Amino acid sequence: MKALRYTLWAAVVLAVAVAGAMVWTLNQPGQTNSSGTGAPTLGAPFSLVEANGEPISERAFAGRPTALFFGFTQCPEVCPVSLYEVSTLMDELGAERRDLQAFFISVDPERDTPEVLESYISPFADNIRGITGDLSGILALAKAWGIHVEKLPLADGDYTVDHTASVILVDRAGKFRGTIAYRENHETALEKLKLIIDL
Amino acid sequence: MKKLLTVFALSAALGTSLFSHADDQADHHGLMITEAWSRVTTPGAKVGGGYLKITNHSDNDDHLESVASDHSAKAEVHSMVMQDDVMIMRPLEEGLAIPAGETVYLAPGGLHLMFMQLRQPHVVGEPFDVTLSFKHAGEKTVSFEVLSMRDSMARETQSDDHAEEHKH
Repeated sequence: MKALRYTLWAAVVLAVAVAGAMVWTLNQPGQTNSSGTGAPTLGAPFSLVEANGEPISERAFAGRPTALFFGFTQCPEVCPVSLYEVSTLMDELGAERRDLQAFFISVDPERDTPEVLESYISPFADNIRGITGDLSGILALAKAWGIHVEKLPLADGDYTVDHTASVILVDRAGKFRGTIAYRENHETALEKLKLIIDL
Repeated sequence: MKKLLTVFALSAALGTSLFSHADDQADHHGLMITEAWSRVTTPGAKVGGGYLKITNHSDNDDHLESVASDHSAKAEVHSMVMQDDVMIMRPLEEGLAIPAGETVYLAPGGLHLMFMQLRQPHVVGEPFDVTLSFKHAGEKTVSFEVLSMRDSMARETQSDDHAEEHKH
């Protein structure tokens, strides 16, 4: 009996390891802090503002598979396309979506007030929540997830923000499980989301 | 006499055909701008992207120097590249070269028109005019079709195909 239990546990460990390795090999992360349990731990506590004006912290990610991506409203292609893609993927998951959640985090909180952000993501409101807040808090959160953010001045006092466009995939335990690249194959992206839901 | 008439008729026909041929040429002589479209903007968006194909049928290099749209206070030509998954977008300070005999594609994932400080949203089914100023060809006003997100994704694939053809 004991032998059987050990065998079962070994099978579970193996299954988790295989699933983890699959996500892991799909995409190497930019930064990792190895936690010794296979998946790297990224992220950090934060205190920011949700697009609906409510305060939001890292507790919003706890216990749920989460897709995070960074962007800003004055971005003509990558941000609207990513919002559309993530929202479409979540619709396609249907019942398989379970408790998967997605957040669009502004890298331009100076211009993206909660009101601006809420209006911008409103067509995707069923699937995606927005996060903004004070600049230092946003930069710290981006850094914790290995997201590059760089504000560059342009002519006429205008500016643009270079930023990592990948979608970060986090499992229920808050562990980093990989990324979906910008313009990644749609089916591959769908499989990656299913993996973090099932983990 | 009959012969003469035939000759007249022939030359008239020839003349007309030559003339209409010249007319056709006029269309294709300088710059030909096609496939101009923009993505629907989400509520509250301050910027939009514009895509098009510019073919220079002339023997002279041309240069897109400035862009203006009724729907935005400011419009520019921008480049976009992905470097290590980081989106890097920059205005082309010197404008955009349109070399003689070549086609320049402004398509998702690369060069695009950036409409800034939008005065009104880009609405599906409501085309808007954009004036492109070229160094030699002068001003060209082009109507931009506004596509839904779904249609824009499909169009992007087509643009990719064009880009592939262009490389070969």
